[in-house]
Amino acid sequence: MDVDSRKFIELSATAVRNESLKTSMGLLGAGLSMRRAQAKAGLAEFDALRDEARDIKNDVLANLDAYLEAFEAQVTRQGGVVHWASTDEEARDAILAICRDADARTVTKSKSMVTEEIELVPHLEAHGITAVETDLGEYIIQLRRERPSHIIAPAIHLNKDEVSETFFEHHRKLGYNERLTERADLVGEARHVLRDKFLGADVGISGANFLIAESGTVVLVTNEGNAELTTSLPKTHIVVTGIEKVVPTFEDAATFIRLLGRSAAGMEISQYTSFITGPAREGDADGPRNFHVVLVDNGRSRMIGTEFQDMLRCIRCSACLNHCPVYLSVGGHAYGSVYNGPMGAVLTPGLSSIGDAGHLPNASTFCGKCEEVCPVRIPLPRMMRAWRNRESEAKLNPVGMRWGLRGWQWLATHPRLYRLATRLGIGVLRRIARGDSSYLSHMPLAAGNWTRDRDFPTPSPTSFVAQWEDKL
Amino acid sequence: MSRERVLTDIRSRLAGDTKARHDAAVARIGARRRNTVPERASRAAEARVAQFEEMLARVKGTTARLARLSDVPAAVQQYLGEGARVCVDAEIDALALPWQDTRLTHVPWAPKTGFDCIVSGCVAGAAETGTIAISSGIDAPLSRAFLGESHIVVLPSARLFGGYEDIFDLVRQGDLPRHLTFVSGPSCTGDIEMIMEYGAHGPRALHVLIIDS
Ligand code: SF4
Repeated sequence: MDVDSRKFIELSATAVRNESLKTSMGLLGAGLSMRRAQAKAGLAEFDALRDEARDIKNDVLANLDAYLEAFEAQVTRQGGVVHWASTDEEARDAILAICRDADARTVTKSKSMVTEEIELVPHLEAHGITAVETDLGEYIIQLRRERPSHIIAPAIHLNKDEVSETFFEHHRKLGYNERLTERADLVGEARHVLRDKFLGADVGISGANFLIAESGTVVLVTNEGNAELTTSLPKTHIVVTGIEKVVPTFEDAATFIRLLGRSAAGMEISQYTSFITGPAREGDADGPRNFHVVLVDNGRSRMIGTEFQDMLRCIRCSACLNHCPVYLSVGGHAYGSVYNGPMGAVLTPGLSSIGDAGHLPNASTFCGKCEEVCPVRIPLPRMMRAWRNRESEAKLNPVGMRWGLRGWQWLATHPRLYRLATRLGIGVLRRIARGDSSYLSHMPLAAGNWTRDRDFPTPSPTSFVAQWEDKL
Repeated sequence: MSRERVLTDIRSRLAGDTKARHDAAVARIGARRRNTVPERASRAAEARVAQFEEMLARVKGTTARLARLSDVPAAVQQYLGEGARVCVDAEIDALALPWQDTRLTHVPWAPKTGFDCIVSGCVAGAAETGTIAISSGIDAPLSRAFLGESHIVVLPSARLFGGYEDIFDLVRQGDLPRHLTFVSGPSCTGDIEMIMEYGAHGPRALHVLIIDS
């Protein structure tokens, strides 16, 4: 996977000063975490479902080859075709070949992170095929030629006025001359423009939230209904998805469905959950004649059997992003990867390399919120720590940082000196604070880097150890 | 071949032998074991209608309770107003309901031109989240539920189950439909500033007529 994560530090420094991004991230953080908490409180079995979901995925990963073969056999029995892609390039080639077979000129797409990962749309366009994103958020960023900034709310970094401007600029060519300012009108205009695209497309491309091995069924979750139109109007449907998405049965899918909407946005269930099994049947009034599933590895199998295997349980709900203080400060684009926030910080180096994406697992305060809210209980902080270890072992982090850590390690293993150093530090910081403020907005020397964008709490007059000894 | 490469890459990292994993997966799939089913998905039949109505109302869907199937045309007219252009799907059409007593304009299924409202049947309902399941089939394009401005669904209360698992058991009795969709409320999007707007690509409104008898 191609990533652009080396610029994380520069990009995040700019992002934290972007006022409109701050507003968007505020809306996202406050809104979704509150809604999730309500949904969780409303379902007594929520945590039991999380345990089961974790166990189901663990079983699937331990027997992944067998479940994939079972899934494939069922798709074939239904008259569909399964394609396997070891790399992003193989996936793109397979999809392009199917589109060519179908003489496709236009393709409609519903939302899929894997198609972002393999950069499918630019590839189709380079080969003369028009691909239209139909999820509203994806449509907006496609018009703006941007990448998604959030795995389920791809245009969350934009505000209404920016959407209004984008539509005005692009829809004028189609005869929409009015500049719309109301949210409902913007949604209505996109509905109108995209309706024709749905009806005229030669191929529909979707992702998959889950694959059911029992029956070769593909499960798709949306709120807009775009996936249903994408997959039932064109003559060809291509599902593009990762090899880790398979679950054994419909019952197992039910467990995940009960967790997904609640974890993502506090919804009891998304508006539409589709179960698609093969191409149209004899006599069916609609549905594609050709049904293809492209199973993408692209680095996933490399994570099996390593300390990163648990990451393959991820159901892309976005709860970890929505609760992450780092993501909510810098937004998604700074990560330089389509996968961002805590899940991206673990997955991106897995799918690319720690050399390319080393900044991401370092961008964490280890507050632990991501693991606390993850519906499949992925130990994200532990894995970020594991990536940091690998980075350090490979000597990929800056020399200064390695020496600094070594110095700290030495100090921390010499308690007397450590205490002396803490006392000195406390004295200096309290002097700067002049005793009258609980936060410092400036610190001397290299520590000034910290206070450039945030405050530092003024330490209490005595250290914890000193207070403890006093109490004894 | 890519298939062999992917499978080999996976196998080289897994514990145990291929045969044992195959047997484990086959046994696990064949058991079709139910996982934890929330209490709210297992309530008695009498309690389900009220539960369904409440859950659907939370996501901006509406409901009406009718004593008989023959009350459907009048209820449709009451909901849409006289003169609305409705497309009645084949399943409901076959019931020969007294549409002649209403002033609704019937239009044929024509995706390109659209209509005010589609009236359709459904496979079943699940009270746990106010969900109805619709499916594709002969004379039943799946897309019918997505191309109208609003969608009215006829749900006999006998087909209102507690949870999703009950719907799966029902559809598994025959051949699986190509496309089964759980619908829980009208089409919506929160993609602009996180505020929900209705009528994204599918219907702006969802109205379920629950038939008691
Ligand atoms: S890591 Fe967990 S919380 Fe984050 S997107 Fe994946 S499933 Fe959701």
